[in-house]
Amino acid sequence: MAEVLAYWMRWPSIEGFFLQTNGSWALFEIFHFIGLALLVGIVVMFDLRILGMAKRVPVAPLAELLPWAVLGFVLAVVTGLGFVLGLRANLYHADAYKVLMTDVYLQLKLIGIGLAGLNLLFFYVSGMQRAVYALGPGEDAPGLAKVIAATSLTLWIGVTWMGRMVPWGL
Amino acid sequence: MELLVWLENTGFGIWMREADYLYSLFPYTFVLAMHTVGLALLVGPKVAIDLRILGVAPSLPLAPMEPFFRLMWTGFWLNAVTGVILIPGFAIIRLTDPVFYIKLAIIALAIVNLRSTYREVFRGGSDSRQPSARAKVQAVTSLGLWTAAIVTGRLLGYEYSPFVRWAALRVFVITAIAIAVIGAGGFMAARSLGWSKAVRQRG
Repeated sequence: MAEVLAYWMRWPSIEGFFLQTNGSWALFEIFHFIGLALLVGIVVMFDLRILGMAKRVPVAPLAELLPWAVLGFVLAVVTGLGFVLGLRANLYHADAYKVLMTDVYLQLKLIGIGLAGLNLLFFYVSGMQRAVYALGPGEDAPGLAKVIAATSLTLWIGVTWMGRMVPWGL
Repeated sequence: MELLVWLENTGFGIWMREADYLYSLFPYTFVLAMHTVGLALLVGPKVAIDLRILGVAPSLPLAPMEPFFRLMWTGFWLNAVTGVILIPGFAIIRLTDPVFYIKLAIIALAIVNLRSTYREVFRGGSDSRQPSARAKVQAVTSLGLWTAAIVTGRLLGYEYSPFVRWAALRVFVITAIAIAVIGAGGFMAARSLGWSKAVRQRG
């Protein structure tokens, strides 16, 4: 099983791309950081508005900025998959399977992203999304929405923290 | 140079550099991670406000966004402090690296730009839904400067391979120009075809 997974998770084409294109690993890192700044920065703004900072901002128009956070997420996921699937290009003794099995920071980070996803799902399912989008200037969010926002804020900062630790967990 | 050698060999410098190999969460990786969190808190909201100034999310009033500048300053000071703490462990390689000084200069310019955007758009508290042309120039400058800050910051990790640095920089500049051209072209096309919300709302 482990061999099959390890084989399946090695992508020689991505390894080859990193090995043959000078500076490509650094380039991916740059885009990973741009993505993370967009994602975490904009999500934190949104969460803080729900928690009561900058309360004069109406929420629905603020949410029009969220597609840029999604763009950041996509950038980070694409480059992040590149790092994991092409890891052998950078570290000869590591590969995707090994790093997913042994790197505790990567594991915590992925769990954090999963939990943030569930939290987002709950934001919609609980009806808080509609309640929050209806908030005009100066209006306070419901308590449950604040709990969701605080969870999101904690999770994304935690994901950033764990993400930066990943190289030390190899 | 003697000063840098001294700095690396102070107790603090040694601790910063070597404690990680003792499987401790502290201090270098922790401070480095906080430096990344600060980056997100500073750059993310600033980019969001720049995009708003440039016409994204036109129904979003700018004036009430003013408190988010406190968030950016929190990110800035977090990174100023963690940045200073990160130096002693690797004083020689960092403080003799031209990229390090280029990064500092870019950040200095970006902070000057942040303050002038604040003066131009947020001082006076008027509900300026239509930012001035000057504010737009400042917003484009800001996007360029913060991107450059992230690029140089990331390239600091390749202190021993200038070749990799130049290669990454070259590909990044080409990619960034392509994205900017396609993005601006797409925006103008959407506008002329009446697809964007901005056009619909202005009737």
